[in-house]
Amino acid sequence: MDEVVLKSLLMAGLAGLSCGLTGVFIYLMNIPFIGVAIAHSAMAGGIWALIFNLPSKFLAFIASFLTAIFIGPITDRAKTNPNISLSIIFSFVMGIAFLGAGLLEGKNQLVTNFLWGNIFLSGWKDIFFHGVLVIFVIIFIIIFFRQFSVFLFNREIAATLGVNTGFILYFILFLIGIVVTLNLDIIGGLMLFALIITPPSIAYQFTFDLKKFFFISSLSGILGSTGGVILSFIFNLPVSATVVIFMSLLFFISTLFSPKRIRYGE
Amino acid sequence: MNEIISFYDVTVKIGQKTILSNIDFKLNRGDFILLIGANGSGKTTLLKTALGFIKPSFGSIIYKNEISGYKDIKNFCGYVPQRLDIDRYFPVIAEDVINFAKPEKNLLNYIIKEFRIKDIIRKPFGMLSGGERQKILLAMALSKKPDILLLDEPNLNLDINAYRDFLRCLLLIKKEFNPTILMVTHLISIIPKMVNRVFVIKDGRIIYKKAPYEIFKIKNIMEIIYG
Repeated sequence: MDEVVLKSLLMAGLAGLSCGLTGVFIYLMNIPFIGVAIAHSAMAGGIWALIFNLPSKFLAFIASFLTAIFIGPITDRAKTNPNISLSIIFSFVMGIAFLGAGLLEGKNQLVTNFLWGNIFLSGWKDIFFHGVLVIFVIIFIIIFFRQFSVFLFNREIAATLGVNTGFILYFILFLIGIVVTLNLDIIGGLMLFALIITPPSIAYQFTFDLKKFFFISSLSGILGSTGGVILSFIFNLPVSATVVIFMSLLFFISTLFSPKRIRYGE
Repeated sequence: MNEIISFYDVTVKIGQKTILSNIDFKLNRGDFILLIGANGSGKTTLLKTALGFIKPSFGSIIYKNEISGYKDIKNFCGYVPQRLDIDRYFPVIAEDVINFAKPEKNLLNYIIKEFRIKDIIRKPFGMLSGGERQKILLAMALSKKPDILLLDEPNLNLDINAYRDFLRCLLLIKKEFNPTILMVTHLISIIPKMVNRVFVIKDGRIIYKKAPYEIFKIKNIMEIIYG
């Protein structure tokens, strides 16, 4: 197998896996705009790093993490509908990203990578770092599984059962920030959100067991992203768009055959 | 020392608005207190202040047992919230919810048998009826072996039979484990047996602390509770 193809498939699988795992939190916390806002602020950070010749991934992470911290108190205190506040933050960071893109001259390809991603740029070093990240995410989910479960179920009940809900919330936001940053120039800021939210949406059709939910979401992420990459190779199509369309198709199919809906007659 | 929780002149303000004013009471070990009042009278705020979710603007709350002071009541309480807006397909079954509290096996078996929840234990929590959900949440709260149970309007959205069944489980717990219970409700027509005091709250103030049989002697009690 061609090395570029192999690296692309490996990276796609890891991207699908990391997004599939973290997407579970966003999905079950019912805060989809968090993923969008963080993805776009990472994109803004990356683009502005190019203007000032700073390390783009580092600044992308800082931007996404700052957004995560800023989002935290808003959702935590929930004095307004979080999705309303988040949609304002989303518009704000989108504006900053495109302002940066407008100011950049002669680096159009790099900006395009942040917007649409470029999986062919993945080197073995990137794959290694991504692999390490995924292992850490899996270990943390296993260690804190009970805390995560009850937190996702109900935060007040979690607090009465000794869960440090503040820590868990910020930890999840931190995790989302890292995953978004590492996937930014692979999938692209504009498409990344689909990779985060679609796998758990597929898992939601199949199981009432949270462990299986994580597993199915991860598997859907891997299948959707690698399947999309293979299709893009075969038909010579843009990778990110093909991945997102293929994953969305998996979602539509899953809704047709959802055992939950069939069993409960809906 | 027999006190579990004491409110000393507690006032809670949210923004400019005063939600609770000068709340002053003590709950002793084994008390079963009913806190009744109209919608918006401050019942839930009082419960959440007791739980530490809301900090008093003035006054203090002391948690203690025979030996030492409680620093955080959340560690010693079982809490049943008003209702959970949880999606029907949320990936959690009833048994998972009880297991959140890591119950001992014997206690879990006792609860399953006495609460009569064997048939629903494997069902998705989101698919349960309001009454079944409340029983599962009560089972979870009890699984922690709490010193105090805080119940926020468990009758809300329950029909009379479901509520009676809930009370049956609650009285069973009271008899078997004798926790202190603080239950918020606006339903005065059914005062559970074993309630030893009723607090009436109006506009953020506790205006009466009475024995259950005395509560109906208050002239305008219906007006206070139902407006």
